[in-house]
Amino acid sequence: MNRRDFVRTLITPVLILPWTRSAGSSQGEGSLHLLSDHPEDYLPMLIAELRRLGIKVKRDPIVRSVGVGEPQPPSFTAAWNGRVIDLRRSGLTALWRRMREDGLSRRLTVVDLGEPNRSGGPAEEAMVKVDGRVVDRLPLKSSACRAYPVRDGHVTVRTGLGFARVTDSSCRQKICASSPPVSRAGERIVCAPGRFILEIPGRGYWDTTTG
Amino acid sequence: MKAKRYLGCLGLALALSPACLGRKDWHSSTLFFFDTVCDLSLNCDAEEYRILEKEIGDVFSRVEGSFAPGVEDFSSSLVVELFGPARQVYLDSGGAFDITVGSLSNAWGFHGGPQHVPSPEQVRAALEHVGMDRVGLENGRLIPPPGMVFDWGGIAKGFGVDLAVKAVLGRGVKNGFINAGGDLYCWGMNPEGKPWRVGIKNPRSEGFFGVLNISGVGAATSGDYQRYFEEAGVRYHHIFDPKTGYPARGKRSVTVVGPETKVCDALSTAVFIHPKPEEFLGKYPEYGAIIVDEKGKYCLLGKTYGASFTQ
Repeated sequence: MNRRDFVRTLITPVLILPWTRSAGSSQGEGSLHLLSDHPEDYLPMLIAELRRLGIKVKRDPIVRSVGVGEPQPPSFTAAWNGRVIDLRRSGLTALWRRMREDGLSRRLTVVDLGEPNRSGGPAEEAMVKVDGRVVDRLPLKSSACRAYPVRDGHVTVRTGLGFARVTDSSCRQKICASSPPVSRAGERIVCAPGRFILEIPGRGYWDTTTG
Repeated sequence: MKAKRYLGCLGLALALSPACLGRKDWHSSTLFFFDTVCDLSLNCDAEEYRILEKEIGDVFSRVEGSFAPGVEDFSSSLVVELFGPARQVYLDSGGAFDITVGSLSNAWGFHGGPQHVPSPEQVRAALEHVGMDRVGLENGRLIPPPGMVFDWGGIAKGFGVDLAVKAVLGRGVKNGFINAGGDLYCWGMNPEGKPWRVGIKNPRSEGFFGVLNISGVGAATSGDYQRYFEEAGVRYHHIFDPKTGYPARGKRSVTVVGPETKVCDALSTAVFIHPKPEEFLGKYPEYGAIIVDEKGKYCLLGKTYGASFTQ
C-alpha cells in the first residue's frame, strides 16, 4: 500500500461517518421535529422562531420526513446542543392551537440544523418528468402546489422552503406520497405506475442506490 | 475562395468531433419496467448507447412478460432457465426462498386486491398451494400442481439485470451500471475513476445507512418498508415466510452483494426470512449480506465488499 492509499484508508472512515449516519439519529448541532401532515404550513414560523431564539438555521436546511405508524396529535419540539427547547413557551401559542385543529397526523418532519450529511449540494429547482419527458421545472424556494396528469390519474407536488415532495397520487401503493422530500442534487421521488419522476438535477453523492 | 476554405475547416471540425470519432462518454437513462424505475449509466459512444438502451429495454420487456404473475409460459426458455437457480436457493435455504408463495400474496392482497390480514383459515388454505418441491420439470417444461401460483418477484428483476449486463458486456462496454429498482450490477469504474458508490437505503427513515464501494458485482435488497400496510399498529409486508404464511419477522432489510444479481435477489429474500441465515449463507462464499434487524441494528454476514456504515 503506498502512502496515498494508506492516508486515504485512514481518512475514509472519518469522512464516511457523517454521510452514512441513519436519518433517525440527528447529527450536527440540533434538529427541529414537527409532527404534522402540513409541514409547509408551519415550518416557516417555527424556523423564524428558532432564529429569534438565536439558534442558527442554515439557509438550506436538510429536511427529512417519515411516516409514523399510529396517527398522533400534531406537535413540535427542537433540540439544540443536546438541550430540548420547548418552543411552545416561545410565543407560538396561536400556531399551536391551529395545529391542534388539524386533527391527528401521520408525518414527522425533521429539520437538521447541523451540517449537510448526504447527497449533493442544495439546489434551486426540481424537475418533473412524465414518461421520460421534462414537463415542468419548479423553483424550490417558492411555495406552490401543482397536480400533473399521469397514466390513470395524477401526482400532486408541493414545493417551498427549499424542498419538494409528492403530497398525493392516484397510484395504488402511494410509495411516492410517503417518500421523504427532496432538496439536494441527485435526490428524486418516483411514482412508477404513473411513470413520474420528481428530481433535483445534478450529480448526487451516490452513484446509485439499493433498497 | 474564402468561403470554400471555411467550409473545409467546418468539415474537418465535424469529422474530428467527438460524435464522429465515436468518443466514449457517460450516458444515462431512466426506464420503467417491473413496476419500478430502472437506471442505466454506461460509458460508451452515443450511437452505441442508443442501441444498448433499446437492447436493455427489450431484455427487461421480455423478462417482465415472461414472469408476470399468472401468465407465465411454463415451457418458455427463460422460465425454465430461472427455475434452476431459484430451486437451488430454495434447497440451500431450507425452503425460506420459495417462488410458489403467489397464493399467499393473493390472500394478503398484494397482487391487486385490497391489502388486508386474512383469516387463519385463509392463510392455511393458501399454504396448501405453496411448496417448490412439488413443481415437476419434464421435457423442458415446469409442471406445477393445480392451484399453485408463482411469484417470481424475488428473483426475476435480478435475472433481468444479469441478462442485460451480459448483453452490454458482450459489446465491450468497460464501465457502467444497470439498476432495476435496487437490484443492480456495477462494473468498471464510476465517472470519477473510482469503484461505484452504492447507497443502501435506511429502512425506517429518509437517507442511507450504508455505502458499498463495489465493482464487478451485483447487489439486491429485500425490505419490509416499501410494500406493506398497517393494521392495528402492526406492519404487514409482502415477504412471506412459506412455512407460516405470515410476513417474516425479525429484520427490516437485507442487502446481498455478490457475483450474480439474480442470486443476490433470491438470497436477500432467503436471508430476510430465515431466522438463522448464517446456517446456509456459507454455501455462497462469494456473497455477503448486510442485515438490519427489527431494532435497527445492522450486522454483516459473509463477504463484505467494502461496506461501510454506522448507526
